[in-house]
Amino acid sequence: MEEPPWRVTGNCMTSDKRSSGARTPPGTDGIWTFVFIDMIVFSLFFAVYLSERLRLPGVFAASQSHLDPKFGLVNALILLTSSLFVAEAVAAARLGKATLVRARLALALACGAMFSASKLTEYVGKFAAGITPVTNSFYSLYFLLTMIHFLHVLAGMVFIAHCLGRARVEAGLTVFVAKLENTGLFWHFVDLLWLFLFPLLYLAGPK
Amino acid sequence: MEDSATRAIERGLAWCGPIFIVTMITCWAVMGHNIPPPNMMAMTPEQLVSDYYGKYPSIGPGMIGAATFGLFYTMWSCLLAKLMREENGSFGVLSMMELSGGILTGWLFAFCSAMWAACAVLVHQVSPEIIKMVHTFTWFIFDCTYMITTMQMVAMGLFTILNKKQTMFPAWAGWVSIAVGLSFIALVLMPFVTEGPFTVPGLWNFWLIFNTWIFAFFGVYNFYVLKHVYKAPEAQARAAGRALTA
Repeated sequence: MEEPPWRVTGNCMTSDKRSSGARTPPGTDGIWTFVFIDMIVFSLFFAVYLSERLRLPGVFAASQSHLDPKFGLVNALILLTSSLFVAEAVAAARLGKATLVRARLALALACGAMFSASKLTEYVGKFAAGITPVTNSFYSLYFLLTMIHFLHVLAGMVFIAHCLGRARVEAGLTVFVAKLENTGLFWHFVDLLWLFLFPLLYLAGPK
Repeated sequence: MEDSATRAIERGLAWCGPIFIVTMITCWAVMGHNIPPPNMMAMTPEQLVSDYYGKYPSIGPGMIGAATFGLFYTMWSCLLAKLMREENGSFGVLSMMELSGGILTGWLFAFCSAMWAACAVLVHQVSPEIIKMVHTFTWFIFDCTYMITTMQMVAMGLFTILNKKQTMFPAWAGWVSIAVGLSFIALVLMPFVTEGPFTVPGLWNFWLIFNTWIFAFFGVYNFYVLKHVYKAPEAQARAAGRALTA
């Protein structure tokens, strides 16, 4: 008996996408548009950061020395690991394996919680040392960039939690796979952003 | 009212957008010497008077002009709210958010410009401390209530993206509207910094935010609104997603 077109089988994404034999990128057009525009906004922030660093090299070097690169590295490892879990969840969803989807999404969510705890610990340490977003240009950019990124992480956790909640009922459905692919794309983008932020804020430049 | 009259009014309201931009650049930016505005948080009251209000006599008339034309933004926003109606013709929550944002943003332009005009006219009659206080207070109102315009832009963006039946505005314009509106968040730093990109005349809080707002949001939606209001009524209804596909 033929499978209904809305149910995913094997590693097929959707039957209509497969009809021409061509592979299509994961996710919908909207998420790619959003990611592209978000990337432009962050690129503008990076340009402003570099402009300020050229204008105030001493201030940036002195301020950067107060950041602990270990925090940045740990956060990068956490996010990379969580991206792996999300990618595995997407692969499991395409196979209709609800239990595996839920397990991987739960691990990704745990990684998100670890990142949040790390970030908050770092912020508390800075405020306790009297360093705030208005201390100087470097810290204005540091707090603004990392806080906006942190908001992206929290939003991603909300999307992952939603998919986790729906996986038991919807895993195997084309609409769920598309939703999870969109969530995955957003999460990978958040991960990629940190891979730019970490060297820019914590590593680059003279000490 | 006859359809022809309604269409004429809508076309007039659509042109309020370009009129707003041209007059605000002329009156507020050029005559008001706001390219960029003075960095009042790093200036003494005496400096603000000697280097700005006392130095440029065109500021007063420019700000009165800006106060006059500021409400053209609101009139344009009213047309947008009408275009954002639901399929059954009712005003949905996104339309109301857009209209609320448009009314308050237009009011901000008018009110704040009038306050700065008062500073310019009274500069030699009150103490520099009072001039700086009113000037700063007005900039806090102008910049730090950014959520008014963010609300409008997010509402327009969501309508553009989520209403799959409308073809008046492309989806990318909706995403850009949301992104530009949310980028205003950096304005929270404006009252507390005296130098750098987040001051009143700073690279982010003035140059990037104002230019992206004008060109990436207002200019883009102006273009598509003007294109829409010159279509035939049946084409307008189809583009708005309120008629059966022909």
